[in-house]
Amino acid sequence: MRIFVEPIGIVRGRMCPQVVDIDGDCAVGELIESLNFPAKLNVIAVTDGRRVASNEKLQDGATVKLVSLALGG
Amino acid sequence: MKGSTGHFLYVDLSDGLTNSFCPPIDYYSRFIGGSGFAARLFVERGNFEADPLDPEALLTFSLGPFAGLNLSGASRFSAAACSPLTGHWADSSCGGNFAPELKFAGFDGILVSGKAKKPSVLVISDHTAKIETYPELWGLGVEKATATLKQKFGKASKTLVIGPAGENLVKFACIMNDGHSAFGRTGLGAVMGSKGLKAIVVRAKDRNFLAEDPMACRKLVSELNSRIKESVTLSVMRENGTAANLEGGVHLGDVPIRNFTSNFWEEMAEALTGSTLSEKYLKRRANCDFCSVACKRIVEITQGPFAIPKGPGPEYETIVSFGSLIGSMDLAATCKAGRICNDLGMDTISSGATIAWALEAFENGDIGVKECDGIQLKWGDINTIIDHILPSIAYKKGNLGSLLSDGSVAAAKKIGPSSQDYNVQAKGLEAPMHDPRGGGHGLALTYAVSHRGACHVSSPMLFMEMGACYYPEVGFDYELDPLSSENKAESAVLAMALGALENSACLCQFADREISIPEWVALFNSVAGFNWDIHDMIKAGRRIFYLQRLMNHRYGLRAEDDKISSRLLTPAVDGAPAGIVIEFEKMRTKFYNLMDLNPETGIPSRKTLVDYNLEIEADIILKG
Repeated sequence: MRIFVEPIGIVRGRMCPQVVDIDGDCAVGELIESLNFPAKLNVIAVTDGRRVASNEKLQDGATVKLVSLALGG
Repeated sequence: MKGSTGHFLYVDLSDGLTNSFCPPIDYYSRFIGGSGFAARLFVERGNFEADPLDPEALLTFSLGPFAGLNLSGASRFSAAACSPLTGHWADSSCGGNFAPELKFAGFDGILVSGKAKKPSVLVISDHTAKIETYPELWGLGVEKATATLKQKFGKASKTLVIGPAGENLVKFACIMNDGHSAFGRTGLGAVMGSKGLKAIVVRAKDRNFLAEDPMACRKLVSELNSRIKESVTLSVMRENGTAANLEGGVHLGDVPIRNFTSNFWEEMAEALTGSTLSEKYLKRRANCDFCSVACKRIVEITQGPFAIPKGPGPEYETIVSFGSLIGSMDLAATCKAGRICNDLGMDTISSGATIAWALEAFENGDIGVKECDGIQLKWGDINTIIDHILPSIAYKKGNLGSLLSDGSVAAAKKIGPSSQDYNVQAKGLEAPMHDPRGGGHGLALTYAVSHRGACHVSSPMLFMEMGACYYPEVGFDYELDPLSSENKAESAVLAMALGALENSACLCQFADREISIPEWVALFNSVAGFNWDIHDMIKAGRRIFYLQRLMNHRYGLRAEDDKISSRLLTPAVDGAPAGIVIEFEKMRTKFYNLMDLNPETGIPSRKTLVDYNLEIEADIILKG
């Protein structure tokens, strides 16, 4: 399964847009955990402006945007 | 009392007199400093019947115990008064460099009363103060007035200056520190203007800070400074400013768009975010005294309609206020609008929000070209805002300037009930640039119950909902879902106490996220010698929250005023929070129960007032 990962905002400072190849099923939360962000960044996934639940299964070819909850100005 | 000088400066501008006094020693441990101390001093010396712009009104500047300490985030201070914008007790917080200098000059704060016969400047140096008439400064913008003062009193002097908006009593006028940092909210620049006080200048020779336990203090400060410097989130803020995560906020539905009518605008997100500001216009970073975070921006725009010379750049609130909130995604324009507001001396949040209200009023036909001096108002028309509307407000020129210079709530009252539907505020203070529908439902509650109104820095609720806080020592180990009301009332109880502590200790909400609760206690004990445990500290925060509620009760606020605009409780139409309802009444009722607040009066029972050692203050406040 191939997932397109697009970092948004401050997450972009931690990774570049990339393609992730995964064997078998994968939930959004598992994908985020595998990317090893610092816990304080509190990274979540969104698609089309909507938050994706961490237990939601990824589909082959999906684009996942990663956003940090950690900062408010 | 260590950490503080024990002296406040009292200034009567009517008589031209200054003297210092020593507040009762117990005020320091009971009300700490900053916001809490200013409130207690007002109860002792202020007049609840005075109009905010009367000479008799009292304007207080108050430091915290950590001002002057070599700690990142500790150089803030409070200004407080009855707000001309909201008509009740309010305060505002400012970073920069004035607070340490005032402490080094020998004062924990300044109380200003009366009205000068001629425009004046208060000059403070090393335990002394004098009032100098300075009429030639009156009418100058903040930038030129600050430069003139620096020329006269020395480059190292620190300044507080009002602009034309404060002189003209615009009700959301601000007070600027060295032209970059601001007491932005609640219109305290107008209070200063009503007194004929153009500026305050301070210069100290010595830079000594005395802590109760110098060794423990030095060790703790060293640990905290290292942690703050290395923090993942604060390094992001150093890199790209307070707007570093604006783009993320758009995807969460936190960033307001066109007067809070939308919660998602994907193209705008990258255009306005902090990294774009860094790439396009950043010249260098700047910091408050002693702070390694350096979230302030120095920008320059060399070409185009919004060209500005190198100088202070916008932070998050200004970028959104003059960006998405008014329907624009022109980052250069937000830089210029922010610079103009600074020079005119106007709060960028209330300026942007009041203009956003006007844009919607025009679109709805509630105001027309007659009220707008012949101009058409359009979403995104930042040129008109910069060239016409901002100066009109500051100088109260024409129909539009006259309509908007008292803020959006007063303007909507003049125009009629239908325009009040899209006033986005709480207790008369325009909402900041975090929409509770996407930023977190608890924010709706803390906007509503905050003594100053819709304010995102009255508590750390935003950070708590976003998972940036972990306080197991005081029972906060919730993993909050921002888009739910679950555990929000309980969290708000802690948030309001911590917010009162932050605003009274005058610590920066960004930097102090790296300080644990036991370290907060250790900081108070090693600096000020309070000899607190965690319970004592939280109790002090809660005491200040209750005191300020009592004061606002005296100003006529009741439980029914703990509310926010209907727009913020109407489910979002797009973005992450689309269709989700904020269970506001449920949260508020639970908060009232947990805080022992009377559902009609909004104030705590006598028993709670006694428990929090507030019976004397309550008797003074409520007797009128």
